[in-house]
Amino acid sequence: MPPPEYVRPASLAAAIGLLHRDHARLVGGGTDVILRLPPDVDTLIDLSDLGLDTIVEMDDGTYIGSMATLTAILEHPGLARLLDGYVASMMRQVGSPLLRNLATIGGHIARGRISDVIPVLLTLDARVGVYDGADHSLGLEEYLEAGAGRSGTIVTHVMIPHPAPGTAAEFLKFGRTAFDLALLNCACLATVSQGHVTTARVVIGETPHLGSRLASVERLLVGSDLGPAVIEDAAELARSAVAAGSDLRASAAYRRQLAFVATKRCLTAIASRAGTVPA
Amino acid sequence: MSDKFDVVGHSERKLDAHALATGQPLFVADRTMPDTLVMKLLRSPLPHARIAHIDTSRAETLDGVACVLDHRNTPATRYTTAGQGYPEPSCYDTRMFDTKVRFVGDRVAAVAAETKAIAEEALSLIAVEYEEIDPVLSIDDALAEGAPVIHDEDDALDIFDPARNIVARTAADVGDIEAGFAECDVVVETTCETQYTQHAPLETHTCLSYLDPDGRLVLYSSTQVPFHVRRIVARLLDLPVSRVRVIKPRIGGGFGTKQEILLEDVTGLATLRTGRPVFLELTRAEEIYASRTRHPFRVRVKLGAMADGTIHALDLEAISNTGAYGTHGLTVLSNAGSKTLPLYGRVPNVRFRGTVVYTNLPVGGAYRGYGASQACFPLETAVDEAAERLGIDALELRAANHIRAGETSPIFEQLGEGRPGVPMTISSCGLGECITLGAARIGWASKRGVRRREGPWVHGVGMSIHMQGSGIPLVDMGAATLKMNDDGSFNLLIGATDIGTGSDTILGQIAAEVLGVTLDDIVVYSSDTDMTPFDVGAYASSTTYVSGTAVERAALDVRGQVLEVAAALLETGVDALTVGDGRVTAPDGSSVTLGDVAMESLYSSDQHQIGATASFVPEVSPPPFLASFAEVAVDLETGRVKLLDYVAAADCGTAINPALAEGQVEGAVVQGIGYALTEQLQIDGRGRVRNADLARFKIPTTLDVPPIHVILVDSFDPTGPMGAKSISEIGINGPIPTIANAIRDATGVHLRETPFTAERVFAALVAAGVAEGVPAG
Amino acid sequence: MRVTFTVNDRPTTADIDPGESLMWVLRRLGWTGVKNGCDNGDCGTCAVLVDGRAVNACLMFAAKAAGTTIVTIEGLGGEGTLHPLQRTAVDSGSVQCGFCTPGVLMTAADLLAHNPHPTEYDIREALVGNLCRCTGYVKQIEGVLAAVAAMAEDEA
Repeated sequence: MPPPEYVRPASLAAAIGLLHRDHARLVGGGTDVILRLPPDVDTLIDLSDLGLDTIVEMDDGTYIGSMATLTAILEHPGLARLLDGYVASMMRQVGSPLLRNLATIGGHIARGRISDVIPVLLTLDARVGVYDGADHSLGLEEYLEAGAGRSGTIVTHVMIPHPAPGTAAEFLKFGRTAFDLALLNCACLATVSQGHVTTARVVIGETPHLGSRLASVERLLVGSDLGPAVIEDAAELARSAVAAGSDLRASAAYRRQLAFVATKRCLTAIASRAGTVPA
Repeated sequence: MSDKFDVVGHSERKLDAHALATGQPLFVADRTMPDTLVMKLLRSPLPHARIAHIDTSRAETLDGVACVLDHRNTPATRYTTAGQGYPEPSCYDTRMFDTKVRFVGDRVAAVAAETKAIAEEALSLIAVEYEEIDPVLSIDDALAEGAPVIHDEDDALDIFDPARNIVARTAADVGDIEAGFAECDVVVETTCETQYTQHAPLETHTCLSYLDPDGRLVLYSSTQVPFHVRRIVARLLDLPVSRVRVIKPRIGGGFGTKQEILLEDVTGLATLRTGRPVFLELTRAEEIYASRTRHPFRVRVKLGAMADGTIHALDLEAISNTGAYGTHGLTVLSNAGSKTLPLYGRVPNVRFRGTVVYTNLPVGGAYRGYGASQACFPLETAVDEAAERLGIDALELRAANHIRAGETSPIFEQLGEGRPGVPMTISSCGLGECITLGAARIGWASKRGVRRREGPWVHGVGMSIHMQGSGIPLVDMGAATLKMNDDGSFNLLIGATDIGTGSDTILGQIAAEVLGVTLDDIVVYSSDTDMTPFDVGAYASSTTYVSGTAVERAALDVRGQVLEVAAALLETGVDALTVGDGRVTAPDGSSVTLGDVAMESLYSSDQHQIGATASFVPEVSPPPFLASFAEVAVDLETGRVKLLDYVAAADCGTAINPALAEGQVEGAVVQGIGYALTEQLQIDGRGRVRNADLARFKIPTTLDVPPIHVILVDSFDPTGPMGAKSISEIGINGPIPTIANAIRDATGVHLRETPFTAERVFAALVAAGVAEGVPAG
Repeated sequence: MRVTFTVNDRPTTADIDPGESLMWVLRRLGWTGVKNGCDNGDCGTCAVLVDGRAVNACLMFAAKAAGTTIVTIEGLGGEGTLHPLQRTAVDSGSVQCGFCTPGVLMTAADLLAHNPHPTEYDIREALVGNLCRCTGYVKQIEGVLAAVAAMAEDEA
């Protein structure tokens, strides 16, 4: 097998052109690709030269270029302030600094598996910018459902809309050590207006599947006062609703317990803040 | 302590620290030689099979392949990979390449090629036809009637009962165990199981072999036992020992796993066949599934005590799983008794029974703690259970029953390392002070039994006590050579093997102390079989005590020679002279420098080399002692155990270098914490390790360890060099029983299987009815 | 393919395989202070600074490093001098086997460059991806804290 060609295209159009080769791979940070390089790969397309690494606060939200590293997101002052450090506190638990300094948000999302980041982005109603010859924007949920990182597309950015006033959020991760893939993670967000929940997001991940929203739990929360009884009910519902499976890290039964605990703890933390602090 | 000595007892800077912190090329893999071949090993994908046919022809003809080895073209000599003293107490059940594979990862073939990529491609071209045999995947499978026989070869030596997969048995008896239990007011019994875990040194096993200009084989290797490597490889390759040289450069941690000959035989043979340097470095995956592990144990302990808190009968029965080969099988088993039972040496009725079995699982080996780590878990948790039944504080029960200086245990004489032991009276024991100081530091009196709540978290404290040894009496041997240079400095040549522990430094300190010079005046060179005298190597907590005494003796001899010359120069008698600050001083205040002495002896009158070689074989093995304490919080909703505080109070006699001694305890404690909470080889029903990387084999990180307080109590062992005993292993024994006892203090739940993962603890909490947040019914 | 970058102030051109990691390339160039502990991004022994940030060299395509400025442990202190982190590592007793030391110091150097006054917790968080099997991290953390103090003193 001849060695692959490593190229750094100067435009998205050129990148897409290269991506049409038979066995091309995109390189964001490259941390995942380098460990799982298929023997027949013919082209490695490094997206470093496309100017996609900026983070900009815009009128409708925070724009994060797909080549922004996880560290850049963690250290961005605006994102650090967002919802009492919601994104930053999650990001601090992702891998290690050595990994976050390389890994990019675009590569992470396009990989579409094993993620603490995606649950948090799902609760924030993040949108994904995709280029396939033309620019498209779609919800992260929609992007993942369509099959993350599907061939012929390049993630250009992630957009995090500004949360509504009265919103609070909390992320929780269970690992075996502090540098670990989660046994289970949980991201919750609620907007409280005049004592009642107007919007709720509950995402549980690493079940061991990629995180996804628990619609039934969210429905239970909307309209509620987010009091202890509601939280207990929501947590019980999460326990039964979560699509838990077993793997080397944890059994399905234990994951159900963790789903209960995580949901309860996240919502309890949110209840103490939501509706009381400006977003 | 430090006022007794000028150099010893001081935290001198580690000799190699500067070179290591600046990234100098000090490790095996950092050395490159022209024309080096890269070796890769083909390993068995099956746990148990006969090799019916192997075809290496396509690999051999691949461009760039220099040498292919398998069972057809390599020596059939049986040996043990265990780098122990001769004759090794491990059975000879291994061949370089066998016609049978006995675990997933067993050697099948080796390729040496121009590049790593070619070597890997060549491996894929080797066709092997296996005849599968039913695998034996647990202790119970191994002992079952009609179990497949793992070692059915007819040329193996010293296997106790190969037809029944029994590697070894051992026993010890004191008093009358049954009568003893009958006399007890309280009897508790527990059976505990410990898991497969692993050393995980950051540097994997690595070896570079080459021929020197005289055609002698040089093995530049990451080994803990250079002299055993030389002996064993010479025998395997049918070379005179004089034709083999082993050099150990800096090595990236060992902890026992590098007390094995895993690479040197095969790279050495490839070098002999090709005449070229051969480099072999295990991948992390190979290191995890195919190197060596800690023997998993099942241990039953029955402990009986009188109402007044006197422990009266102690019965310990251990079954060890050595995996596919019997390396360290018997000796780890023996140590499960000999390094635990004497701790309660006054107990008049003691029984120990032990069995080692083969399985088609990863191979056990030496690992820091060496059997004591496995057996102290049921023993020290049983002590807590007995204390509760007796209504006596667990600390008081231990304080009242532990062995003291001047006392002995019949176990010392009965259990040796593959042979009877050596009678021994405890020459120093600071355990009482360890318990007192450790308890104060953790806040035992105010925290034990309180079960403070913080939301779902409930707090508890636990403790345990431990002993180890200081070398193997009448077996281990260390030697040292000292010679004086023109400027009054000295070369210290030692066979002792610094594996990151700092033994080069502390041995240099001992020499400097005796010779009245600074550590800067001692140039230490170690672990090169051509250049340094013999030493068994770095294991069994032997270096400080055994090699240290050899250094002390050599230094005393040299000191005498220095005084002779100085006396002549000062025109006075030898007896009244003192050494210190690099000078020899007479009572009248006149003095000469050591440089003057050296110049006189080398260039002036009665010219001779001041120097000496001394060796030491210990007759006893004074145990270091340890009291270990932990505070934990247990999440009743998830089973997560948070370590909040850890205290390790140790008696190692004189700490030759307190900072390095503390470092040994700190590191051992954190390895022990991993052993207790997160580390485990996860092996599937086909004998395959499913987590053979450091992403899934979980060792503790900076954020997983609590504050660790090491206390070194003031102690002096009259038999040791400058009063020293060992310190390297003992710390690892503490965390399992200490944390188990702390969890029990917090929750009332007694854990009997390691590791205490959150999921396992939660299941135990549920079973005991103390879990919270579980669905009703 | 051929890439050009700067390693420890030396302009360097290297012939590489496009799929190769920076770790293997740097070691081949003689910068063996870059240690291979796992080749999987799990242990941190190969950490180097690339344009000022510490990364696992084993997870970075060498091709990606084209045009960057790389510092390895051999270049941390500059010509003939020790970086405060190296000095305090030696003095604190934090070097046991020393195999993880280069990676630990490079990661700590990144931390101190971006946060000159870290708390002990900040240091532990920064080093979470640098496994050590010898020290229990106790003296390593003390060493970094001592470097922080020494550097603050130099500033004053």
